[in-house]
Amino acid sequence: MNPRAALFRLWVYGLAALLLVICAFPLAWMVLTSIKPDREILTAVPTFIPSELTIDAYRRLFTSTIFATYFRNSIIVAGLATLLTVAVGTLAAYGITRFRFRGRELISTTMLFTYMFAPIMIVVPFYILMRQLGLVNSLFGLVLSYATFSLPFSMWLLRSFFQSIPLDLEEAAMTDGASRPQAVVRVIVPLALPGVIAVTIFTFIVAWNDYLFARVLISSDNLKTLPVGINDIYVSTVTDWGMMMAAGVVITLPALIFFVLVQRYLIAGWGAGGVKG
Amino acid sequence: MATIRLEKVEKRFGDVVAVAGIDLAIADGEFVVLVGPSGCGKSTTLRMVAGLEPVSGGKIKFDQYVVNNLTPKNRDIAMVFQSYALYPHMTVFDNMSFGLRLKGMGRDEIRRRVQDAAALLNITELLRRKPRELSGGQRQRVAMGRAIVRQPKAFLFDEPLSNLDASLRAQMRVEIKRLHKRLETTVIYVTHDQIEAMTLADRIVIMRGGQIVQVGAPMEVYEQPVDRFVAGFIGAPQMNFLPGRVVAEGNGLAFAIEGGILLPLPAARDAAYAAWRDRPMELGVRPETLHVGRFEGPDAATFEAAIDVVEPMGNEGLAFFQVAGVEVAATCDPYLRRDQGDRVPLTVDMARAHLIDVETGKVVPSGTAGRQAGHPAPALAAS
Repeated sequence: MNPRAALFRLWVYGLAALLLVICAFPLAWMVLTSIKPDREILTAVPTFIPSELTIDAYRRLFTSTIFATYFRNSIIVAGLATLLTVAVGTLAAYGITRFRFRGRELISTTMLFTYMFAPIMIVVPFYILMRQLGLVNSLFGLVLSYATFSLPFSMWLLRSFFQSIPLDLEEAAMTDGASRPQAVVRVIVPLALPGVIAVTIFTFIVAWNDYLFARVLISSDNLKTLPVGINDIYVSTVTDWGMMMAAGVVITLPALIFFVLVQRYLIAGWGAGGVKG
Repeated sequence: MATIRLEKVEKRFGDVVAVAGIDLAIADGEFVVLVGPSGCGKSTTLRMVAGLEPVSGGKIKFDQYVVNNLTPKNRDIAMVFQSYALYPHMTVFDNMSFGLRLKGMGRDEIRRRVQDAAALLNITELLRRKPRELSGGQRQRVAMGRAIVRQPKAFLFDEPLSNLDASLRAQMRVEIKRLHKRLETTVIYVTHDQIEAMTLADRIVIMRGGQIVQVGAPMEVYEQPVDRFVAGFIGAPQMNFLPGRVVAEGNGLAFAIEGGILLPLPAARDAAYAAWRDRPMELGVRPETLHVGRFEGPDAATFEAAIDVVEPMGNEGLAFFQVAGVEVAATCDPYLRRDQGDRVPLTVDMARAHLIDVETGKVVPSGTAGRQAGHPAPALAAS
């Protein structure tokens, strides 16, 4: 490697390291604080590395609050919203790319209009709608609201993936003896997998992190999701920073694990080569 | 194995008629090539047979059963696409076995069939690869393998060789023909390449504007085209069309090319051509029946023209002339050395020329035109 390239590489790695520190420090601080003894959290001279390790904060989190319930609710809501969005989004995007029907172009072009409005603007009309449907204060209502919110983007994203898959492949599958659903499941979806994964991550994170809709639509304590639940812990007790940080760690973990598991499928490009060109 | 019948099959896209009520009967085991320029409806016809395109009118029958409303899955056909359409996320083995796995066939049977087809196509060592690791020719073979393993009622080929380079195309042409001899399965093959049509087909179906213009064995459509379109489309280099009229000459008839050249027509055709006297006609002459030089023969006619360009092609040469305002190609000695503008004699074998009515574009039936199987063309002797 010549010196110029080496210098450039050093510069790139330096910048990356800086970014990493900026992003990771708050997370590291959160993790470290959650395993510090209480007396070490608020001190005149902060310690970075805890003098002793303790899981007291975690024990308090799960015993003195109904954190486990919040956690379960969040998993249910985010999981179902993701399933629903992927299922409906895939079918809708397939329909829009493969069939001709009245209003097809209109749907395609207006899909993203929904994102012109900040969620806070639609949350009140949404509440009224949900109340009329009798879905206020239910996890199902929450699932529907997240799906509504993530579907347009998901459809839009999947549509471009489907458009890039040659029609020939599907026709080949059908002349090979596949029904249309079989062709979609065994040929089209595997090829659109990076798109499906992207949609999965997007929806899961939207649902997992949402505070606004959960706050407005859910009133019973035992139906609350993590963001709302943690906020309530924060206002209802004398602030227990160790427990707050422990909650922060636990809420981050599933999203992190999920992302690590699926991100390798995001690597696109393995679809090349099946058809000429 | 099946016979395939098209009865008044029609396809409309809105107001556009893509296929205008065609009739065609394909025998069991026959190799039929649909050929024509782009937009002639050949691919649409194939897709209707495959079930990928709904039929707007008429019937498609496999054996005695109407299959109009069957999905591709239930027609038991295999199709080879121009793009090969291999599943990129599957290995060659999985690509080839896809249809068999869908049928729920046993593992051993699947392996046996795939191995057999792979051996037949010389792709055994590629079975574990993904399509992106294959060359164009190899992908083409895999696409054929995927069709073969299914042992379908019919193979449908949609311009399968168009994406290959010339030498590979010639090689695959031979292999496809060999495969058909061996498998004896009904084939419908779509191409715009008349050489593929000539070399592969048992029967050629020439289409134009959504209609079938002519159906016949390769040499039949070559020797006895029904109209100017077929005459020009089949055969390379293309047939020459000389404008002129039929006139009385001595006791018989002659073709008078615009500009005064007079070519006596064979006496055997007098009766057939008499009614076409003094109307604007064209004489269709293939370059291989028009020779530079003066030759004798029962129906040889000679005239002179100024040479334009000579193209030596190894085994023979092509010489180009301007006659009556149109470009005319003639075969010549590849060593022919003449300057541009030199006048040379040209001899036509009039027994193999075609008379075409300019108004309708139809070839006037001569009753005698063309060479029949087993009867070589009368040799023209140098004089």
